[in-house]
Amino acid sequence: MSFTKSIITFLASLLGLNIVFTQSDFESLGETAFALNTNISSDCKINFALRSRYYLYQDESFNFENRQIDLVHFSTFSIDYNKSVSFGLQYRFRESIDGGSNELRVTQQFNYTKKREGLRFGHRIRIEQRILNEFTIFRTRYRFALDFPLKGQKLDVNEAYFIGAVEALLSMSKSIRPEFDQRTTVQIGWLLPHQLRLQLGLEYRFEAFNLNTEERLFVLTSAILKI
Amino acid sequence: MKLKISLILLFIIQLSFSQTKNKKEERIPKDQFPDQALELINELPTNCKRIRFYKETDGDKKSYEVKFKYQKKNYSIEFSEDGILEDIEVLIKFKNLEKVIRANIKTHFKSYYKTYKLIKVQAQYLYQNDVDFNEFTKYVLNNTKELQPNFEIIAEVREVKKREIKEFTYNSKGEFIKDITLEPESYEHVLY
Repeated sequence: MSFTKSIITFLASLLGLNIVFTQSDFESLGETAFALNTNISSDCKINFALRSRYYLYQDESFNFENRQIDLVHFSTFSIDYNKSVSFGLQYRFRESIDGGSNELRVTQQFNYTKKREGLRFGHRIRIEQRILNEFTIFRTRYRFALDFPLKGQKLDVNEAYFIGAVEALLSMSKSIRPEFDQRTTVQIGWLLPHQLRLQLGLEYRFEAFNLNTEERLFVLTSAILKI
Repeated sequence: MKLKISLILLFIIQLSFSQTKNKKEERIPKDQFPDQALELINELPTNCKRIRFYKETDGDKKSYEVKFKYQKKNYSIEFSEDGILEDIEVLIKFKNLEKVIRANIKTHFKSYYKTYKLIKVQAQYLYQNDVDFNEFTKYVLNNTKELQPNFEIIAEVREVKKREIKEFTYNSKGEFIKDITLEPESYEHVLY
């Protein structure tokens, strides 16, 4: 349990950092998601999610302001027990919320996991086409994730787990210069009865760090239900 | 409004934590391990590394397990609720099995499944009461040929339309004894 405590302390201290930031290119946003997963067969599962993103800290002051709502769908096909390919479709509503462009996003994904006792490593490669009103962005991303239960080697109901991930992203488009992003995520989740998971975490993003770095801290909350 | 939501969330978490737990595996401190089992563990060679203690609860049934590394191999010893030794398992590589045993196991997989993929292979030494614990562990840890282990294999198998992860048990000759279907582990919380 002391491990859980130390992680919570770590998360809380990261959150505390948010308050002392003073740069104008720093923003903090919140992202809340509700996801539904269901297995179609032993080889195929689908996922639907509703996700909203809102500003928490912007222009050197705290304020709450909605930014966008995403409707997300993913279909995942297992190649075998530790490899899968997924296809995703996402629509982002932004125009009517903060005036930004709406977006249709098409995703292709390959995922590979490796398990060592309680630790699980995950490699994910994604290719995305982000179709905006004016132009389309082609993005490739690679994520390395690690997750493990906080009690024992197997995740049982009513137990907590930790997820850590680092991700590198490259965005390309005809009308903008290539952009590199880097994201680091830590999350704590709980597996509750009835296949419900609650997750809470932080994600630190360095956006366009090859051009003009923007730093963003995301506070992530999500509920994932398997039916 | 936000406070209300957090309070509700907290309430849900509290509620679910207080529910009864059916199946559970957890790491426990050494002092919560049965005394009788600890006496045996204390007699293990001193160069056993990363000794960890686990407790498994399945309904009313409890069992204990100690895991450690000895000479670069991963061992686990299982004890009953009263601390009575049940078996010792050691992680092995399928390719290191004798050719005849390998052939028998492969034949079994090929005759029942369209495809198969081995995930984990363990040699399982069931404890016979007529042997002294020290003798028994010595045989197992030194991998002498005196004892004939069973082989426990976790594999992903595919029949025509169905894909499953199963745990198979074979005897020392590689002849099939039994299998059980395991629940596939979910990766859903990190997938997307």
